[in-house]
Amino acid sequence: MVQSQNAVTETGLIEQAQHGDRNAFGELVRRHYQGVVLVVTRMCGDTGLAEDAAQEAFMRAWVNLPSFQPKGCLRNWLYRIAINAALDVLRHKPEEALDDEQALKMPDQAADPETALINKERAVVLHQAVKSLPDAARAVLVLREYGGLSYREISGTLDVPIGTVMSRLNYARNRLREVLIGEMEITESKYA
Amino acid sequence: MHEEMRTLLNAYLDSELQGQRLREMETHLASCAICQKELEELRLVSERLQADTALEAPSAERFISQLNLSLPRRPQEDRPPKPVSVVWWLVPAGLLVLLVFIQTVYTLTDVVTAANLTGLLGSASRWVGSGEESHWLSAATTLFGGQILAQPILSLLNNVSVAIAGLFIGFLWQAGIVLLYWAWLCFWWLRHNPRPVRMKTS
Repeated sequence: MVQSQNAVTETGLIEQAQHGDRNAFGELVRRHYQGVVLVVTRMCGDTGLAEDAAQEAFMRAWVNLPSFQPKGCLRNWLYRIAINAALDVLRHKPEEALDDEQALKMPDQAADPETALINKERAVVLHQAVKSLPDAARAVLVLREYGGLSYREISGTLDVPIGTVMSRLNYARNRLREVLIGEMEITESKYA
Repeated sequence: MHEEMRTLLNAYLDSELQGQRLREMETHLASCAICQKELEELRLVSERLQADTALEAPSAERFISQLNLSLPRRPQEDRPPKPVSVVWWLVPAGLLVLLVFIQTVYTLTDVVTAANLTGLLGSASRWVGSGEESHWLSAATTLFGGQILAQPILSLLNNVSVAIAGLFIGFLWQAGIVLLYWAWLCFWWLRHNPRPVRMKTS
């Protein structure tokens, strides 16, 4: 019931935003901000680029909102725009390297300094591994892991068959599995 | 069987398998140590990805305030939507009513004329009149008086020419109304599908 009321409200907000109400659009952005930013951040692997991509994504959404059908899922529509915006931002800034230092500067909750260092090194390896994936496989992985979309939703969002979604996800996770297992073996030998 | 199940491990991990496939996978996993190990590694990958918080997103409020400042104007924001005028819709409706009216008048006229010619109207025919006479028949009658031979044939030809003239006039009316209706449709289409404004490059 609550979900239904929420859906009705969102439909109303979409209609208002379609007629140029910026406050309604701001509320829609507030609702979907976390999801979109999470997706573009993992697509770009860099918070600075991700912020640019998120801004570009919401601006495209604002411009194209009049053509959006309220029957469709706004979240998936936004994710699709976000993925494209993130890829465009990456294409225009190919020299941008993964912000490794940024990950290493993040405060770690682990009390043990050795554990904290291991966690940070793992984070860097993880980001590099995700960033090294082909765009198509990374998009599927990000939508599944961070967007929380089902295979059918990913298929609709990226406009590819479900079989393609499965094969790209298999490829991405197997690549990450190989990298992470290799990294774990190195870490264990290093700190043993 | 093993390779086929292996390709479905991710789908199983994501709870995307159902029915027979799900049962087959569970049966296979119960007896395949390789797939069990691979499934655990894939689960670890997924957990590591989701637990990773190294890249923090900027705060929503700051982002939204910045976004509001940079949102572009939409083309349709520049002009308020025009209210749809009732008169605008009365034009095609009026044309359709006029078309139906003219069609009805001509059809009734043809029916009455035909009934009169065949004598079906009987004594009521005097209210209808004796029918029209073509200009060429009037001229011939004036020229030759009542001495014209083959009077029935001339009368038949007169009726045919009067009927053709009536049909032609009716056709002209209908064609005119249809043209006006098409013109209205074209105007309506142009109004709702304006051509994009081309910016001057120089």
